[in-house]
Amino acid sequence: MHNLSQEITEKREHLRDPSTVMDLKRLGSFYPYKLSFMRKIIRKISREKWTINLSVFNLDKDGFGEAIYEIKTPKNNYHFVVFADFLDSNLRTDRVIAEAWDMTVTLRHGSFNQNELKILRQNVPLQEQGRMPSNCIVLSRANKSSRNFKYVIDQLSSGEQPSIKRINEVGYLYRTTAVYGSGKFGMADWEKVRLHYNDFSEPFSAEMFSCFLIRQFSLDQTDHIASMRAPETAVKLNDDIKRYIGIGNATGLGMAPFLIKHPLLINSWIEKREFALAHIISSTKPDNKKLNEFSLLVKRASTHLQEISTENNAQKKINKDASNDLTSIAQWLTKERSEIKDWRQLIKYVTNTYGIETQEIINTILIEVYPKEALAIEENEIIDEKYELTPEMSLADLKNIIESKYKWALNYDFKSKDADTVFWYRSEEKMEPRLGDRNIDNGEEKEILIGIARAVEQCYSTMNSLTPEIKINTVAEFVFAFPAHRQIIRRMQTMSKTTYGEIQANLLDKNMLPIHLLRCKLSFFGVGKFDPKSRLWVRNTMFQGAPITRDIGKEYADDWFFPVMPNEKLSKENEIH
Amino acid sequence: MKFIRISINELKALLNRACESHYGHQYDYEDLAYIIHWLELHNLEGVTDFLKIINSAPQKSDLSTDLAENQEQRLKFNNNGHSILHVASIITDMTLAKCHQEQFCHTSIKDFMHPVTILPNLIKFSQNGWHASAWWAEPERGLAQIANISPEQEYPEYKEIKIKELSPNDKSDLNLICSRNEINSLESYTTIHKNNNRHKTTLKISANDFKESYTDKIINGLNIDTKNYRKLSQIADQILVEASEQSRLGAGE
Repeated sequence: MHNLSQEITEKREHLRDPSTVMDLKRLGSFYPYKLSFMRKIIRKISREKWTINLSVFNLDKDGFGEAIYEIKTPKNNYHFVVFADFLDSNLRTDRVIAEAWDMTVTLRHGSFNQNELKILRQNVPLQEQGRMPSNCIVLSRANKSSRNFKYVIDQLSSGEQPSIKRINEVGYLYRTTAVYGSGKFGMADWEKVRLHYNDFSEPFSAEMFSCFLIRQFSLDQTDHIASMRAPETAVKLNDDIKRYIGIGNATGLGMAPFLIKHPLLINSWIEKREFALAHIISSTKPDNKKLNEFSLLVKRASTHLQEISTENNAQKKINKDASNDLTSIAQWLTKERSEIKDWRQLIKYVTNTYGIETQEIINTILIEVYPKEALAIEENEIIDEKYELTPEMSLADLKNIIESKYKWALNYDFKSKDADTVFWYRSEEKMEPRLGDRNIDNGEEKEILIGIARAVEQCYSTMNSLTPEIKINTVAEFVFAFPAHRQIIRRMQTMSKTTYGEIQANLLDKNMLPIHLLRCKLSFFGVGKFDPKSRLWVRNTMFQGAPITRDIGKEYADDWFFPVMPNEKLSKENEIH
Repeated sequence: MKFIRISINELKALLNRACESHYGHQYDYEDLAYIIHWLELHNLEGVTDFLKIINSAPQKSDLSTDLAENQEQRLKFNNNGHSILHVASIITDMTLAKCHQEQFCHTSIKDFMHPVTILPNLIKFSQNGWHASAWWAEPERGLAQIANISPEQEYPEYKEIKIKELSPNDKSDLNLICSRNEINSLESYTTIHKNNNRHKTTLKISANDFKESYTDKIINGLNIDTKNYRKLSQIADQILVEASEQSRLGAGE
């Protein structure tokens, strides 16, 4: 088995410095890449030739009812159960506090009978208010896109394909608003999934697979409604268009605390990406073939960015600038082609010439060009998320850790006006994480312990305040005297053995942008086309360009990276009546 | 009694919130939650005990323990009648640190409650390559309890000893021994209490039993007394902030 830790140690000198990588703005500039979870699950189901068949499709003429997809993997079988209900448009909201949805779903293991279906029917539509059987793996819901859903059905029922340009404005027919796994609401614990349903033993793979099937249902339901409405004239949605339709997602602050609470896991994700990059830059050379592939992807990424539709002016500018940068880089590549002997030349040029958004796109493309090298480290290591105290460590050694590994945390002045303005808390409304301003909002006394920099600084101050007559030599003696610091100390001791994992930012600062946290996590999921709705939540698109279920089993080109609009003429020629 | 089935992860999240809510950030609330979670996963009534403990300990009261003696290879604590739950990890930290320096440590704690909460901490000794043993007497039941663990073992062996000549005044300290060498805890116990050969040992929970109960819960989840679940949820919910139009702005819409 590939020993990633050993290889990382050998390549350590080529890895980027954590102060560069873990900068919040840079993390918020990450893009989906070869090893993002959506890419991985699609590779897996294609490689293993899973079969996905509609075993129940009891929908009425308006598309309301039940559908069940039966999934057979080489060793297991699962069912993806969908309940499609009428939803008053006044109740349609992306917020987690919603109580009704157009579609509610669950992914469950094994075969089941009518009685078990009844239990699901009673509980799945309730979402957080229901209790799920322990063989259910994922619970989720989605709402129709008010801009696209009706339009697509109108077009199909009148015998026309929808305009690709119009589809592109939104990119999906449904938008998920929450995807739950890991034992929530009585479902199977992650440990059970990992050990017993090991088709989904990669983190978040079951959740991503469920989103893939929500997308598939949105396509099947649309075809169904159109054919029921106008049996004589309706056409099925063209397969190229189907592939271009993704599944939307709305993500708010709920994702942010996860990144802070699981630094070992985040370390493994980022370390893998950085290792792939370092390995490719240090051990491959740009030959003609690779330069051609690289140039094509740069151009495709530029087009992809141009095609993104967002009303957010800041995001518009980011996309436009990055797209222009990529066009310039493509020109530079053409001009300098014969001079480029080493990928370091390219990286140096991009780093010196362009902003971090463009730098990270180039890094992502470079990894894409070397699938063999990237896929060699595809398999995730099991991360035992334990943050144990090392009580025998001397206080001097702990101080060294803080001053070296957590130097960034000591750079903030928490007495300054804005540095400690924000507090994070959970609302009584479905425990939704929210941000408060200490000067305005209630609830400061209930804040979530998310300000790592402040906790480090407080611990360090207490250590420095010890006078020589206080005989405290070890960490054990220190936490005995100051138990409030035990939690941050065991975190620092654990994380000091890793390279990445701690996001080097003050999350309590008034001007901090949580959206960077969301985008970082979403990029590892494989999400693209970010459409921020505020600094606190973002809409995005998943699986755009990915295969549809009828493609599984056929030859698979793992190439739905930076998807671009399919050719409208070609799509019309491929129409299925 | 009615039960609710919940997952391991749900209980963990619930206990984290409950401990954060009750103890605040002045204690390592995640570690307290871990201990309760471990006990509940291994059929040792962690939740029931936790609810009893917080009933008797006012919210955010001083739960520290006094270090009465710190000699070579020896630590003595006075827990002032409080539960071991709150200090089990800190006492373990002190014992482990001393072991590292002096290769052996005998720690005793007097005036304590809920000694069973020391069990999950024994695993920290084995993970660090130490033998460890904990024991305490329950004179009113005429027995002593002993738990042992060896390096790299995942779980302790938990035994009960019936002792004929134990009087109600024989209430012992909670003893914790950590050593590089194997510890004959029974011998240690009987030597200290001078009642050699007047005992009958039964294995209360074997390391294998501990493992099996955890494996069972991975597959089936846990059944928690509904009343306890509601109480726990009430405590956990105190960490939630009341919603208002103003607070909704903090969610981004």
